[in-house]
Amino acid sequence: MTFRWRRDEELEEEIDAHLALDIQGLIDAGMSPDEARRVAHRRFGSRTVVREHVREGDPFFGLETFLRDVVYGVRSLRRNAGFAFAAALSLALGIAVNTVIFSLLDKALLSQAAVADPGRLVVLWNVPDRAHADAIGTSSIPRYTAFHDEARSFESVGAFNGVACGVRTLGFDQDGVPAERIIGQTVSPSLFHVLGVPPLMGRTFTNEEDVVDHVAPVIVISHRMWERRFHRAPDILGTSVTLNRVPTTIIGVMPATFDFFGDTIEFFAPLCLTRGQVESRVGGNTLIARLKPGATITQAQADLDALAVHLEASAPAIHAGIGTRVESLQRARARMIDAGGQPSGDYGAALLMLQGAVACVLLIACANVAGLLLARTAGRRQEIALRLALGAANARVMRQFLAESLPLAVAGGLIGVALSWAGLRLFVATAPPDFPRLDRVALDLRVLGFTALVVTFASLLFAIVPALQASNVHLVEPLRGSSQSATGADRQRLRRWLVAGQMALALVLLIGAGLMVHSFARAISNELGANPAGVLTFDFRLPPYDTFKLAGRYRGNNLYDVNPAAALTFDRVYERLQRVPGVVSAAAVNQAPFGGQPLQVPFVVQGRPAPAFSSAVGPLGPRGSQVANYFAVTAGYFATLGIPLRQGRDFDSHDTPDHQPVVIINETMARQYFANEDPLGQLITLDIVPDEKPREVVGVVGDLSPGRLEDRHVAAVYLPQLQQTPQFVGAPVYIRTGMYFVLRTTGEPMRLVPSIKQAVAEVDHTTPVAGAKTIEQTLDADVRYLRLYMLLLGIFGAVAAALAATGIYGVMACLVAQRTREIGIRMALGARPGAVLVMIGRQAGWLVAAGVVVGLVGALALTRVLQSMLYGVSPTDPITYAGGSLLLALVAVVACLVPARRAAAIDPTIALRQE
Amino acid sequence: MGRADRIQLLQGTLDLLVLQTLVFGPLHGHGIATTIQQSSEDALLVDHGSLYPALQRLEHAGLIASEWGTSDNNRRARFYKLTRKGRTRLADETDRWEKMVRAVARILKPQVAR
Repeated sequence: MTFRWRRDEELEEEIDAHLALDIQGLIDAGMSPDEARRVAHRRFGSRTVVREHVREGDPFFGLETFLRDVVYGVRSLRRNAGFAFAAALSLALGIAVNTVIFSLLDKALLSQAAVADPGRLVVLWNVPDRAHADAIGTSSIPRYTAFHDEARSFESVGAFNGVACGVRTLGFDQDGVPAERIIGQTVSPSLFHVLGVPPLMGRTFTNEEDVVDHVAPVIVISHRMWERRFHRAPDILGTSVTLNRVPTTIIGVMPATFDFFGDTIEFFAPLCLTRGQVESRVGGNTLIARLKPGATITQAQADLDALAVHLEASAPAIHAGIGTRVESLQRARARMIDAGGQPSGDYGAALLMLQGAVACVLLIACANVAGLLLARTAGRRQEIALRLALGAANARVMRQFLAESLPLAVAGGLIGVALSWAGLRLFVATAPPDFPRLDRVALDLRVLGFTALVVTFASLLFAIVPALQASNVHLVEPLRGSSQSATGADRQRLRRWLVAGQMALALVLLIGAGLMVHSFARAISNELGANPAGVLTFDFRLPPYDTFKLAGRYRGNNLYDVNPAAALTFDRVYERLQRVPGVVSAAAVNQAPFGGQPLQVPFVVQGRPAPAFSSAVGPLGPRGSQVANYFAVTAGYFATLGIPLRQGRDFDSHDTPDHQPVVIINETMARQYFANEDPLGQLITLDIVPDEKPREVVGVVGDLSPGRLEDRHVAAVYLPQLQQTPQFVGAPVYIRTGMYFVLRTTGEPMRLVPSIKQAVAEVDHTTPVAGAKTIEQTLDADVRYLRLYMLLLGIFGAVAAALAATGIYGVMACLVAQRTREIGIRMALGARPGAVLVMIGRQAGWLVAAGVVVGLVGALALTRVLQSMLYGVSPTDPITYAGGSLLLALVAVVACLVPARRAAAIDPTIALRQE
Repeated sequence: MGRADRIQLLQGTLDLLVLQTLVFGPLHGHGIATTIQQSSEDALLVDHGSLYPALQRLEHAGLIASEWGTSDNNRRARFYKLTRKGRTRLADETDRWEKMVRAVARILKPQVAR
């Protein structure tokens, strides 16, 4: 600014010098000093005009006038507080939802893993059937070995397994800390090299530590584990801990920054391969590879495709039909990974859906602000025309508009940032805990930068549209005071388009939200078949090698002897839990209630022909053959969960291995197999092991739903856990290692956890109480994403509808104000208020109808992306579409009510005198 | 010459005249104004004041440069001189001007052009 003042002073001095020289010249030519001064000043012209013109050309001049315009803008906004508030809030809401979702998107999708050069890391998904390239999964060990040894595009290939082999018990230490369940990750020795993350201390695994069937008892622990359990002991390396009752040596500690597997994994162990895995085509392993420098994903894909042909030729039993898909780590990280390590869904789709919804809200907000500014411009046409008439340049008027909308944009931006901050806090507080990288979600500078960009762009847009309209003004008409000029009609048409567009976008959002609400309602209205309120569960699981041993083969699968001590331990825990104060009843079941799809077993009814057994399809029989869900329970299970006993009796303490084997079946099974006879007393044989004896049906219970999102009724058979078969077949033998205990309690269930742990430790202090939670928490987990999306889309829909309502209100109010005189004349000529209402209503009706039609078409096209997120509702559900349209129309009617009533209440005498 | 016979300058021509005036050496604002008026034999009407926005414009465009100096009668005055860029521009503009004048003349008085 000092520079400008110097230029000003210099100009003054220059002008003075000019005049002095001129006057001197004229005097020299013979004029009198007075006359010379007069002539000089006359032929110089206006000093002020010269000063102004010179200033206009000065780059700093623009800034100064701009600031003046900004101040003027702030002042005029203060005069129109209602307008300013509506506009700034519209903007703020749009910015806030955008920022919140962008922050989430950024952390969940765009953030890089904390590994060396993540751009070169790829995930190799298994394509089980090359004809269906979209279905991907995890890979078998033979494929891992083949890629590791033979693929040429990669520096190295690593594998990690799901938690199946990784859920372990960190047992009794020398220091006497009680056993606890910790979750580990089994990894190939090459994995840490692939990721390029060295350990903080010690070393990672060698190939010699991962020999098939002879895994070394060594682990690498996470930094969190080192802090939490070992208090950062510097001499941790070489320490021996008991893992699954095996003495195991800690050989390394990972750095705190290593979060590739999230923060629930507390240790890493070698893959613990078995001979069976090495020759199996069964998957379970996620493969990660590091591309050679310069190699591309396309090259790697071609390389693996060629390799697949070669593998299929050399070992068809293992590799036939299988393909591989190479995907960047970035993309793969957006996938939802289920407990078995399988990609089960895609956060990407959900987040992109939210991003789309947010874009809609921002558009609606922008349209609102533009509409409000347009209305304000209409009110200022006389002022603008006057300015133009007085010689202001179009550019100058436009600049003024820009300057005036800047404070609006800044205020909207600031409120928007505050709202975003609050919104993110709310999201973090309500989001499901397994949302990726939730702990790092925060407003960061880039997000703020993005917001600033949005604000700047929006304000430019808002400024320029009304200014273009304003500079289009005919100079004379507005000055004459006529309110019905052609440009006025243009402007109204633009505003109406904006409002119809808003209506359409709001309808798309409302329908999306409606579909989510509908899905959610469907899910929670499913009949559970039990009363889960106040029931606590936990998992009690013994080490596998203590529980079963390989005994041979049966029908092409491994046959295992099950240690009878396991069932006796479960029974002792069951007995002990009955006496814990606060426990009303306690029982146990071998598969978690509402835990998803349970294990099914084939069975034969005594006196009926057995269905053909096909060993080719699966370990426990083909789908669609005579199968039932398999549950082993203690006495009191049905009473504890509130499952009604329809017929017969519950199990009791006499149902031991020494007595007649018994079963209880569910209603569906009774209906399907014993429709015309009494199920009680029928004999059923479970067709899973050799020498299985028939079991007598002693009761029928109500059906239990497998979860919130499942309402199919499937046959189920319950047997006393003490009467389970002494042998078991195939991989499902793992269900014999533990039981889920269920406890009906008085008061808050989680409060009992410490006394329950103590009671269990009295029976077995080496096995921890793990995963303690209420049944309601389990049920809630099924619908957590549904709830989250419903909540978010609901908020967006509500905001959108509110903004659209403001928009249509503004247009209708403006319309009524403009037509006051016309309406006055009509009423003076005898039109009744009712007719005026109809006239105004028709105007509003056209707007709403146009918006609804466009919105319905848009929703039909766009809600298809919701397909995978919906439950029990089609994306084109007519009821939701009708409901959304009706709701929006209702909101619009309410918004139009005030202006319409104002129109009907116009007093002709006053209206005609106006203007 | 009567005031009515004087010609209002076409837009943009003032810049050209200023540049031409400076061909023969640095001049201050008053000098430029009087030179234009005298060399046009008082036919052109130049408000002396209107020179200054033009000078400012030309200086911003880098066609002329200025520095403070002392005038003939020992007054402090700002002197303007042509830059190399200004000289090139003057040549171009003069060329264009002549072409335009010829073209306009051909239209207004076709027989002369023939």
